[in-house]
Amino acid sequence: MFSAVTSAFIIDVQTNLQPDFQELSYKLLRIVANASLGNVPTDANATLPEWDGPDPTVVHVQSILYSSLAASLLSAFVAMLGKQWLNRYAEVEVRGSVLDRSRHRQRKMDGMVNWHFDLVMESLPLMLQAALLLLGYALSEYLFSINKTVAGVLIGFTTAGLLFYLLIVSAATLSYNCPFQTPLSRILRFLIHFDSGHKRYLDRIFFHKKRNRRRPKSGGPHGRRGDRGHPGDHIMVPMANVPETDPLFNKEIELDDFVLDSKCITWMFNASIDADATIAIMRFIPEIVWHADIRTTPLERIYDTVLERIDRSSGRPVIIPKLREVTQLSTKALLHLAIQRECIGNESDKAVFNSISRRHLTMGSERYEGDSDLEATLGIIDHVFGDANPMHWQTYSLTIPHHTWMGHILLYRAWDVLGKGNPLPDYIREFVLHSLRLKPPPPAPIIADCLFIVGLVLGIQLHKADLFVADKRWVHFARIRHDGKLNCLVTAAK
Amino acid sequence: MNPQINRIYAKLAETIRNPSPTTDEIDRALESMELIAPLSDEHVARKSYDLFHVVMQAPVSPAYSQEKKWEASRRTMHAAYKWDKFLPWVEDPHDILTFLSHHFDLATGGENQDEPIQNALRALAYASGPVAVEALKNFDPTKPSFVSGIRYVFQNNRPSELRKAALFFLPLIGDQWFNTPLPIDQIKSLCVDWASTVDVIENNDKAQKATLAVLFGMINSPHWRPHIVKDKWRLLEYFSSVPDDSQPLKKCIDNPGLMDEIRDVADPTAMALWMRILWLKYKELTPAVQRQLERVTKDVAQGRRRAELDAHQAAIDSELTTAENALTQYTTWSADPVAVALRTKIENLQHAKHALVALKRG
Repeated sequence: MFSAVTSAFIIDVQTNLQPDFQELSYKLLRIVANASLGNVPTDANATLPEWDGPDPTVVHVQSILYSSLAASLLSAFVAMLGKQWLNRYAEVEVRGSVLDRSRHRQRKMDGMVNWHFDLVMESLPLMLQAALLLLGYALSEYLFSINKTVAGVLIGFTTAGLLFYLLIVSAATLSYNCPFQTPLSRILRFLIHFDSGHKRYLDRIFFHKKRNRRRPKSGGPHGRRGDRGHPGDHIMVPMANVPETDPLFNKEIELDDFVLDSKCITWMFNASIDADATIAIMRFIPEIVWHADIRTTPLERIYDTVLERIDRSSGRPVIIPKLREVTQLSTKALLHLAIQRECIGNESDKAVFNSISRRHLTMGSERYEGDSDLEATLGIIDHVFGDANPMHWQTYSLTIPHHTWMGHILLYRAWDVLGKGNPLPDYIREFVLHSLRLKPPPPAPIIADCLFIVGLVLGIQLHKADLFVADKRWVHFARIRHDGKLNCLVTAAK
Repeated sequence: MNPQINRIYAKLAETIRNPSPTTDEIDRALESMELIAPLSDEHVARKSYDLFHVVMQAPVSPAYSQEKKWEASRRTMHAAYKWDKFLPWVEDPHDILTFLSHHFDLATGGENQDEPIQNALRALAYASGPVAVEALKNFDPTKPSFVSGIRYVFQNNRPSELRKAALFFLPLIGDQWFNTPLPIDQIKSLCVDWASTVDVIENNDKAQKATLAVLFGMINSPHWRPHIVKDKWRLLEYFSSVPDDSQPLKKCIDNPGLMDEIRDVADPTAMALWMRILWLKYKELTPAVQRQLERVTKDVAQGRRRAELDAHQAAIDSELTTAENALTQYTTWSADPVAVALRTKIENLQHAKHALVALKRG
């Protein structure tokens, strides 16, 4: 259709590339008429008119119009090819085993990725956009040579359209989340390697003053609810009523990404009941910092998932053997989410916590066939949601990754409990003592977390944003001042 | 991690030094000390040692009672000296001795204070620097309460690590302990417990050195000598572990009446070993002791125990070989103090050998 429009203009301008015989005839008739009347013309009109080729402007305009036509036709051609390619990709192989067909599909998928199929397909609209731009330019130039008023209207609209396009390309290049993505913005981002590091750099430059200004003063029990600002400011929203202190780390945490991740998880929970999807979701949850700007959490849903995996028909909790893996992941996800959300203390979370606490039955008192990671996690879940038995850490033999994660999550818990003026819970105290007594000593991140818990007991403040940093070893104190509160300037080594 | 450890200890010191802390601050400080104490780390050990002195010297207050002060001192002492791989040097032993005396009182009063006493003894025994050793000489370890404490830690039912630490601590106070003009209470049972402690600890060079330092102190003391357990005289065979400049040994070999006293010991091995030691130190003996030794050796040469003299000579030869081997690591006329000492030792041993051989020939 676009090609047809362009062709119409080409046909119209095409006549200007040939001699105008109508005008030539008019000029000859005029000479003949004057001669018959005895008026011998003395000016240039007396000379016999000769055609000396088309107007250069017309040639230029026509060239551009043809370019536009060629671009639109080429895009149509590639689009047809693309349809063929997609048909081939979508073909379902009916022969061979499931594994063979899976491999065949994966080979096609790998080929598409390796040969940048998406980039080629994205270039189709780019060719059309170029064709439109060429058409607008050609018409503007053509009309400018005919009538400036009419040309002015066209140039105005063309320029406005072009500016709008440039604006959305810039916005889409700067922000991946911008909905006005174009092929050009994607290519630009690819070409100039405009990764998240650049984005953070720009954020710091453009939003630094604004953030400082928006830093809340002492909030209510869990921060001032109406003081959230726009999503980019949520790092400044306190998670609890702990006074603001200077951060120990300057490691950037992409809280916006966590909002996005949390929405993904909620969507996946609603969209799929597939076991593999559930495992993937549960594995993903502990990777996220469930901070105050995440409004919706699947806490109750995860709790139900855990309950479904525990059989109480014999009177005592038993993990259904074939569901052990998903149970491990679910309990870890539940604890991670519950402890982080309790730090925030949203009203909606409180309702969920109360609901869970009312129906919670002790889970952590069993040995679960010596699965220490699971036992320890369930034991802490009991402490979080209700009454629980004392935890004997020395009887557990935690895996190193689980131990590390446990140290990190218990630091959250300690921060929350101590910040609310309560004593350090016994199970955290025992965890610290057990971890620091271990021979050989546990990995440094665990010791670092334990030391931060000790610091919290002593009243050494830990900035809320520093909780997010999983590995707290890399603290470098440029200076330490002991003037009531420690004022530390800290940089993360990496 | 060290920055966080620094922050914790700075805050702890600040809290303890505060003349008017709140009860909550002190309780939190005590809890933090308890939590960090199990961490085996050099930095923690050093910082805990420093904090221990702060704790001991801080004034008590309504919030920081004497009881809490002792509790804090126990936790810091544990954090500093629980780890075998690193023990901070003791520069000033006064606070530790005060701590030790207090816990001796508690222990003899019936409380189980093994861990704090063990930590304090480990500090003094294993990590006393020259300054601390000098300072210990001004300490009076013969007070009845302290003696009771030492007796308490040597008891058979105490942990072996505690008894070992006490065994290594004893040489540091041996000078005052064994040379006191008045006898110490219950010396006999103390000697028995010390002897059983020697039996339970690992027999290595360091243990032999500490054991012999105490044994020489006992031998030279008229109060202690009669109570030395009979079979412990045989420890003298580890004589070569003792450094040449050992003061307890020097006092023994300079004591002219000692030979007659040892001759009266029920175990004849004691006299034989003592004579061997004297022959090895022959050149360093006073003329009176030399004459005594020669007289006794003549008696032996003429009697049935003549074979003992061959053993003495073999011991001299062995020491000579050892010294000559050690000397081969130096150039012929090295001015290194160790080389000079070795040459002197070789010369002394050769002199002793000639004298012994002459006596054997009659």
